[in-house]
Amino acid sequence: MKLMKRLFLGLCVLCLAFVVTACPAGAEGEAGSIFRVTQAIMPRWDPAVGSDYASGLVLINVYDSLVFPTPDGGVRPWVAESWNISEDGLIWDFKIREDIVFHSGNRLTAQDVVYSMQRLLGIGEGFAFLFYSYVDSIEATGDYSVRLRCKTPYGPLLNSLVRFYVVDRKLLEQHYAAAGDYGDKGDWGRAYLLEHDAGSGPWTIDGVSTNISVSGSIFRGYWAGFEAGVPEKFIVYASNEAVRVKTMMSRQELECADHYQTTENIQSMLDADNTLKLAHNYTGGGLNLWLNNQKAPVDDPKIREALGYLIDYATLCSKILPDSIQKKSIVSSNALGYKEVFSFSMDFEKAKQAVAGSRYADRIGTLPIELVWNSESADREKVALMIQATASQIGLNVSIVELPWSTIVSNSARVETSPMTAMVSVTPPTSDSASQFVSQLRTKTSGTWENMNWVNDPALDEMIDKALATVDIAKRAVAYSEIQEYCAKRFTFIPLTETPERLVYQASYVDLAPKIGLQGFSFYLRDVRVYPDRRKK
Amino acid sequence: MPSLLTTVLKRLGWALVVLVGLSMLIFSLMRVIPGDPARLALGPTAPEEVVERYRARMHYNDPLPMQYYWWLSDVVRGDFGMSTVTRREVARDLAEFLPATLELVIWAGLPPIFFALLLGVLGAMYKNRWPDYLIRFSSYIIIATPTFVWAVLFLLIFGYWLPILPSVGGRLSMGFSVPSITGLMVLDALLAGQPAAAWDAFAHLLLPALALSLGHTMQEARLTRSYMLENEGKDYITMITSQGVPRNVINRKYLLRPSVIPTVSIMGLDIAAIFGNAFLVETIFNWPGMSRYAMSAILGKDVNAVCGVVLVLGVIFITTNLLVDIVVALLDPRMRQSRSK
Repeated sequence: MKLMKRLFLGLCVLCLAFVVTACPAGAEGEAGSIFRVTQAIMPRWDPAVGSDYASGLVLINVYDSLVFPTPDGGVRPWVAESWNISEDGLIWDFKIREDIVFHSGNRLTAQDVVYSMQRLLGIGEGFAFLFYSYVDSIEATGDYSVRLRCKTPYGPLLNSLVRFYVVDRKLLEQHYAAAGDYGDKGDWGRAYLLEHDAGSGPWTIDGVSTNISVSGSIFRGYWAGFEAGVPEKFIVYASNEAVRVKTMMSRQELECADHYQTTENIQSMLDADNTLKLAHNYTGGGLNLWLNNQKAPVDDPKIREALGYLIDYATLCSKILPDSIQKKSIVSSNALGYKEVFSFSMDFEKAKQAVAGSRYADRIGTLPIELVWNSESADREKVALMIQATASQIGLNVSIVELPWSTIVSNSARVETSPMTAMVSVTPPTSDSASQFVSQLRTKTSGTWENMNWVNDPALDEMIDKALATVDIAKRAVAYSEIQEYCAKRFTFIPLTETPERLVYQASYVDLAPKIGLQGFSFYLRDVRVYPDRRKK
Repeated sequence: MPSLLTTVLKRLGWALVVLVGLSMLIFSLMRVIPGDPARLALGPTAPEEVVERYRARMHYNDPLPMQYYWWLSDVVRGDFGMSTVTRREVARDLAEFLPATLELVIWAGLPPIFFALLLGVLGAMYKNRWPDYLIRFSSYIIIATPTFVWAVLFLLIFGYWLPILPSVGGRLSMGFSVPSITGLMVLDALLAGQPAAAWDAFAHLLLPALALSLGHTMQEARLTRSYMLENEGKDYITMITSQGVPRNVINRKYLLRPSVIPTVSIMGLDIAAIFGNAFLVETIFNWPGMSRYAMSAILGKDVNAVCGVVLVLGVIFITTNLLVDIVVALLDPRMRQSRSK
């Protein structure tokens, strides 16, 4: 028994010592001028590989793009200080800035731009899809001039170039792994870019913990300079478990929570600490009701129209997806050529009329309408239940199917397996409507989670191709409007909401006011200010 | 002892068969679950030509047995293939992530060894008195509560309400850097002469390890108590007691030793359970271990990574059980005798 008592006493002393000495709260918090944010997955900052949200966040801070997006949806000179387009719209000549230096100390030249495009298209991942079908060749016409030749005239090229990041050719060529899939280029520097960067952007990567986090520090030699208050360091955590995010925010170990946090967790964080605030950024992301145009009964435009009238948009935008706005076109409201073409509101009479005018009017009750939602997005179930309840009011039989995301992606490959209807959230990569038309409506891209509407309409394809080939912006915007009107008449799919990124941040010592409504740009760190002296002690 | 060696060799032979079976099963399962692994790896927007090239490179277009053949022929050479989640060699990933999980499991395995026996003995000694009631009542609650709930609760209590332990996750706070010697952070920090780093690493370990071990500790405490009480009623204890042997000697030498044998056997199985529970705990605590890696691999349908992790877990499970069998044999002379016969 004496031994037991001694053991117990020793344990108590150990616990006490631990509580008193170990890990003082805020050990991670007293980190100086740093901006830390959570994300759902590990970013991939190789410009030829990453294109998801987390990757975009790192790419825009570590690399320079050829042109830079503006808040109004346009572009401004960046690495390219000017450009000319040939009359036939096929040849683009870019003049490259001469004062840009990579993090390695190498000077950025036309050769780097050429190499970056060749590498992007050669690897084919990341944002390559924006250029793959359109870029024919690229060559350096001088030390600081580049000529890009398109296969066909391609109007949205400039807007797409905000996602074209220039890599340090000399640095990567020194770090090719011999064993690779790209012939004499080995692995084309992919392994090296898992732990380093090859950029010229305002921050440089200085620490990688695979699958856990990536950190970076400010690049003082940045050509575009910095304003006072920008963070010296950043960390992106590749995990966003709700309780841990809330805890880290309360301890000032995190400057901003990711936008994937649930409505409930966001509210809980705001309620618990009045120094936290909510920032919004409308990046064009939103929820849509994809409709398989080849499956009965939603192959009938009248049934598709009826579904549009069965959604309680007010509840959707205020309660289920707070701060959202009703989406009134097939493209987002910040996209070039946006036109309001839908005027849906919840209206049972109009829904009944639409059903009555359909070819399934006499047997609609016997034809179940399958509505798929992604099991990893809990809010979607509420939307599905709402649609099911309203549809039952007019005798439509909506059956809800919960599927994991990987299954939805897999099923979308073929028209037979694609869901009859599915709620899918999409955020466009650029501010040009083209990216949305191509990825969501064109027959050639059918069979992905972004395009399981299976419209298969040659006339629509022709309209899209014609619009893409229009280099003149004003004329292209008109062409985009016509496409939206065309789709609205046919109810190709039902847009539901435009949902902002809702970001809880440390308002007591951080200024976060996103200026550019594009995916990832909420965290463009040159627009962020951190004041470490205002942190609570 | 030679018979024990024969048994061990036989078990190792069977282990090989089990591992091959396990690899075939997990490989087939990963291939038949929905989702195109090439499309998942490259993203929805990757051009179809690029996806097709990737499929060919990864042999995804070959029949399943051929795919398994390609994979196994690489594995026997120590090449588990590339992970589509991390874009690195799976072997490298495992080498990096396994020590973190091992360290967590080792620390999570310590409380069951010490406290389960302590609480079990206490419960038996104070049978039907308040310490026994307290241990039994708390064990009901602790065992019935899933591990991930404890993880979240600990994070809330010690990270949020009483901010005394790290909440960021990982194995060390910012500012510490420990050279990797064994891969076990606390030990490495001590070996490198950095006690502050060791203390910090221990603080990072404490909550996830505690969350993982709590249920197993109480489960094994209940087992120890039950076997202690069962053995206490046996004739040989009555005989020893009548001979005037002191109570503490009886407890320690004649009662505890036979009573812990079933508990030790269960501990071997519990190691596998701890690895299983680590999947959620590592995710909650952002622990850079193999389980968290496996979670991302499963969600991304990363066939090579999942197969690699399952194989490693299989080896660990088989090895642990083999070691437990040896320990039990050493503790229990009857087993040694039965083997020698």
